[in-house]
Amino acid sequence: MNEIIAGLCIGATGIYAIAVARTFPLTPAIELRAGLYPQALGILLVLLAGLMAYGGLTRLRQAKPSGESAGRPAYWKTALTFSGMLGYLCLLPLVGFGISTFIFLVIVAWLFGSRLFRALAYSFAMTSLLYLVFRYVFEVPLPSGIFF
Amino acid sequence: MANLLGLYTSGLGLVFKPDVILFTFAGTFLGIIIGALPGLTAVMGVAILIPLTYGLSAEVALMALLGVYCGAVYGGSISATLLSIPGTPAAVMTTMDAHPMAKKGEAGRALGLATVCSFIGGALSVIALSVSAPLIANFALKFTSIELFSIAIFGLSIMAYVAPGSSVLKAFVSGIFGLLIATIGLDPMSAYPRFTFGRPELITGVEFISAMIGLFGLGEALSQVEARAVVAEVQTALGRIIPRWDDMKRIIGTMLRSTVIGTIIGAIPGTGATIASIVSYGQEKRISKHPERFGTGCPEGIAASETANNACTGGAMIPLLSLGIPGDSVTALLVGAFMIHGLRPGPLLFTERPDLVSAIFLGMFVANVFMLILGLGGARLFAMILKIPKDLLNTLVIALCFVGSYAIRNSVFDMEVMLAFGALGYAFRKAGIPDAPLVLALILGPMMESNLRRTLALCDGNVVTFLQAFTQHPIAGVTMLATVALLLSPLIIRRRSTAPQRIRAEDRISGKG
Amino acid sequence: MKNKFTAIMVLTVSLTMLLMLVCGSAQGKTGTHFPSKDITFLIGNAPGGANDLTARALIPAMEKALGRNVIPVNLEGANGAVAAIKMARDPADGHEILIHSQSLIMMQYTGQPDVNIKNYQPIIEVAEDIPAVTVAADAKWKDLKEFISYARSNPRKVKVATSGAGSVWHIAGVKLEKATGVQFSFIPYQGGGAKSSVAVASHEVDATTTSAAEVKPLVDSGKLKVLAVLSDERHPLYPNIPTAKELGIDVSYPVWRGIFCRKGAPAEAVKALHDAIKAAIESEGYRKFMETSGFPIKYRGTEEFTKMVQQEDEFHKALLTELGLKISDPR
Repeated sequence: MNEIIAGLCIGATGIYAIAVARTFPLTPAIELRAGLYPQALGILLVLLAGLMAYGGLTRLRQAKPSGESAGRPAYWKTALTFSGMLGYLCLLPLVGFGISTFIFLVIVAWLFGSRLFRALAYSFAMTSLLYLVFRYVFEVPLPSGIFF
Repeated sequence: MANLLGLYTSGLGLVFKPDVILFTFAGTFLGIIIGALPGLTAVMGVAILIPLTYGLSAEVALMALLGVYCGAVYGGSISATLLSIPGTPAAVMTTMDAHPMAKKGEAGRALGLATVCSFIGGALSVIALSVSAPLIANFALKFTSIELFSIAIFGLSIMAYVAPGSSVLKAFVSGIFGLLIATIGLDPMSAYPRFTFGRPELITGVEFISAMIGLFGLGEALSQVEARAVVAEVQTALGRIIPRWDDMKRIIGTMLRSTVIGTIIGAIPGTGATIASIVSYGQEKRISKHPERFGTGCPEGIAASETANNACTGGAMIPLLSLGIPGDSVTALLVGAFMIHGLRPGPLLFTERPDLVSAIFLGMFVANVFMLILGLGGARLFAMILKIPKDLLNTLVIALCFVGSYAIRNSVFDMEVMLAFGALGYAFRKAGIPDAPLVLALILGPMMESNLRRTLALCDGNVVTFLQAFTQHPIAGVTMLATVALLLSPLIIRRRSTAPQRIRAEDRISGKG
Repeated sequence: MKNKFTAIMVLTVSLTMLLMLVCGSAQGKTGTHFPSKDITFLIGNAPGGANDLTARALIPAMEKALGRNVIPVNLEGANGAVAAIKMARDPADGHEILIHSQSLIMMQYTGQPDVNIKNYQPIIEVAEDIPAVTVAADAKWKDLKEFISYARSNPRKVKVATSGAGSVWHIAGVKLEKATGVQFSFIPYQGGGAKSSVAVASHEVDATTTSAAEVKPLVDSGKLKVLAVLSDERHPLYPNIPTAKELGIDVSYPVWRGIFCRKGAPAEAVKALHDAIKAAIESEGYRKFMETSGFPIKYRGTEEFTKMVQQEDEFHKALLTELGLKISDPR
């Protein structure tokens, strides 16, 4: 099932790439169009992704309906982690590295099964350590926000 | 003769001074840490340190920087082994075998092999540098666009086999997708911005270190968070660190061949340690009697990648010292470091400052020795990371993924890229598509496209002239033949071993022994 | 095991707090006139490149003149566009400066409409980088005249390496074409002048019009020879090589490197920056660095530099349009 979805998505990307690459202009004095190579890759990708989706389809037909044994993965956790990451990237430029990273890591540690107190303590330590190492040892200017 | 010997001895006085030795040691140590942290690379390490060396004397500054260089190229293998995230791009191929080996509970063996191979590659390349630099430099100049194109194709052809256990079709889907992503940015010929979605950051393309961290690091972490059953992914057992003699005997040929490949590729301007390790890995897989074991945790895979990428350090110094042109992006920075001290790297340096040239040879060798000592001695310390409780380790990995990708160019955008590739990596895992081919394609895609189209332009766009060019460039021709052989090798393997059970059994034995 | 971890973490945390306190108190100084805080020096390229090294060579003397720290920040990406766009969005108080070259002008026409040259205030020119017509040491041409006459009788046959379509070294080649009426075939090599000079040395192409400083190592190795430099005066690295003008070919294309701040910065700030950087140009450290790196020092004051940037803008706009490389308009 996953293969079919992936095949369709990748195939769609390929078609999109072909469509965009067709608009690339022909520069005088350059032998080949800028869009030729991406277009060729796009066509190849659509073909391969199609084959993959077809393979998934045939396997789906042949497969006997069997109940998933180990239990369904906790997809809500992945979804939550991912949205946490999106939120982190939005928050980062606003409130700076320290606060946003701390909050983000507390959530992540909790999702990975830490107890709340443990998550708080380690996130604080980890944020401080990363800040120290990257800011002072490697001289990376981390994003600063309203406080520090 | 006395003059020749002077090239090796006149630097003794410069190198074996307490401050120089101390800075070489500190540089190597810092380099290993920089290399081991995802997102911080040898280039960054050297770049950070250059301004700090303003106040030092030329030999102290250069020794510290060379130490960082050697250390960082090696350091990437530590996180590749323990966390399955290549600390530097050069360790991409190391991940393929070192991590599976660590998973089997042989983290110590993997770390030990990586360390010893790095030392052998680095030390032998320094010897090559000091003995035959002008010869190799002139050979490296023979690598024009068409040769670079064939090297890229050779590297790309192994993408079908870097992920054992998944279908070749899926590997190609991943690889072609990667090639398409690699076209983002300025067109190499006409400089037209392709697929940039109006974002200025994409003009120079997707930052592939972020992409790599996202795919390998975040993608894995995302699929771990939802796992119900707690699986001990890497066993905490470390085992013996110093490689066994039979392991060494097994990989000696691999190490020697990879040193040659690494040194030469390092000496070609515009390539580097990452490409060297990919090519060497492909080459070893091509000539191996058991190519199917590559990617499952075999010592030859670790040896091929780690020897070659460290052999690049000596190799990249070859054109720098004999011609004055950098061999890779780190030595390009070293040009600046030389200039700060009023020196111009190049052939004139041999006559103007023979003592300094000699000190560079000796200092690089010393840095490699320090690397060996620190690597073997520190392995138990590095492996502490495996003892961190699972929940905290995963949190640390995610934090490192984000900060590391920010640190590459001080940009939040690269974090967004990392996140996008993390999502892609997660989706790939769900659909059973391997992610390694995509990373290979991201590294080699731009090199292949620009050299292919440049060669075509040099042939006036004529395909017949283009094909004829392979007969006029023997290196390119031979590389293309090797590519064909590599692509056909799975057919040969299938014929040779019809019983897959037997392979697995053999592998289990070799894994223990 | 657990106790050990807690101990390490507690230690780390307390150390962090201490360090943050120390750093916090160090930043306390404030003032009324410019500069009221540390200066950020934006560099649009990776550390170790020509722009980066030039900037870093200026910094020590600048700090002395301004009495403040000057902090170099490398913002790579899009060949310097990312750094330029950042500066255009930050406050126009003069505390952020940027080092750039002709490419700051060209970007707005070659697909970076957000880099509008009108958003930048030129402060001072600090150095030049001179294109050199360079061929392989064993090439059949003895001088520029022979080279040009061969190119004239073999249109589009002479292959010239540049560092990309629309790069400064490509424009230098185009100017040579126009001045002599010949036609080259330009082959782009990404990744700096070293690649172009290697391509000539390996006989993959016939010539290059890249930086005179970049070809110097391979000239010293006996692999390349310089036929002429495209500037008004002879190059300090090659006192025996004539300029194209001396040979009767009227072409000169010095690539300038200058310092900019955001348009709208107070005049007092621009003047203070100009004076500090001028002092830095005259410093011993900068002079020595420029000597080894092979870039001639070139000084132009604020007024003169601003005027030149304006002229260069018009020139490049017209030229890029003609070459079919103009794909965007500044906004």
